[in-house]
Amino acid sequence: MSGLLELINAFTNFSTLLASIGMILATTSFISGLQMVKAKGPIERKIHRGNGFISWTIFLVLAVLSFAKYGFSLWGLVGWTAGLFVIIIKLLIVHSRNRRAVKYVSWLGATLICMWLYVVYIHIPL
Amino acid sequence: MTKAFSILLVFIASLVPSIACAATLYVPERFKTIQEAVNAAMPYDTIVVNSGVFVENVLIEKPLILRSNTGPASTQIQAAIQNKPAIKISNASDVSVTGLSATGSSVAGALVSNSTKVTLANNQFTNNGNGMALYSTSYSTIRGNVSSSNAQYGLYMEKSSHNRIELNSATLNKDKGFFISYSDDNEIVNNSVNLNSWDGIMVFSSHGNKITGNRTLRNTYGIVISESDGNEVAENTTIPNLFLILPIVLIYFGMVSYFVQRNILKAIYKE
Repeated sequence: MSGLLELINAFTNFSTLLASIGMILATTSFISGLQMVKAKGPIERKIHRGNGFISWTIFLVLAVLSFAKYGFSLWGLVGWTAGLFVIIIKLLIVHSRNRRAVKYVSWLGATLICMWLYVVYIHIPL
Repeated sequence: MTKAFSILLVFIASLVPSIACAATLYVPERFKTIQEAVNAAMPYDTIVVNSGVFVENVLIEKPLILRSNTGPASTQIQAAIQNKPAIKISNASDVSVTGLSATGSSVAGALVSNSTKVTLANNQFTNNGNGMALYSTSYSTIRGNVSSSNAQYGLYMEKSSHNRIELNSATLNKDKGFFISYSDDNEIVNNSVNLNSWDGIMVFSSHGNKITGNRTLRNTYGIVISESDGNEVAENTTIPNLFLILPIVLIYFGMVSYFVQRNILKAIYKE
């Protein structure tokens, strides 16, 4: 019961809530992306792009909030830039339509999920 | 009966001078600076500091109570000389400092040396070299202080024993949260030592300490004990359940979200 209360209490923090929504949307986008590899349905593409775009926007908002709250730090800049780099590389590969490169897109998708797990981890209130 | 009564009278009379001496001094109404009040105070006097920023280095070498009237948010001591502590308690006993904030010292917000029975409670120490530093200090209580964003440690203890460190918060310090060095038989309980750049709690060459009920989250290392024996380390939290439960719940919600969105879109586009 106390664990459940702690879980609910975590969502009262705005940054945690935003990071959690980002994680949910990134997971949805990742699953639809895997489905797209199997069969390119228009619905999967819509889910993939819609959720991916919103989670990308949330990522940028969280980065701005982080600098606003804790001030500028070199390690912070490196971390957020690395995350942005993974997202951009993934987008570039998908849009290149190069068959050899596309082979590794699912790995980048998994990397993005790991990145979101870390984003959630650093936003859990202490 | 008369003899017993006279003994009682003598006993009460012996108490009177000490009670009569305990005066209350007000800063800045009566004394412009805290140090002026400290210099003027007799042992066991109380100094009440009203809100304001006091640019000075306070040195206490006698038993007294120094407390703020309105709390640390509005009562700040800013170190006038940066390479001296903002508050220094030296060679004293029965000193209490409560409800103040101290900042701007490259040494420490509060430095206690060669003292006993010192109480630091509900203070804030930010942007100093160290938040609090204790050297050769014993039987003291450090309770409910916030020590954050200091260049080195939130709390540094050296050659100090039989102290009680409880309910303090040491966060965002550039090195360690607590650094306990060559200090024995202390109780370090129920503190929050989070988000420090290096160790949460480091115990080095210290023995017989009780380290229980502390939360050390998101430090590079939670609790590090080196070259130390006989320490009791129990019920400290380094990874709370929430850190595991939340990601699992979120991934589950992500999967549910995918199925919900797919069915909604299918219904809309009638695939």
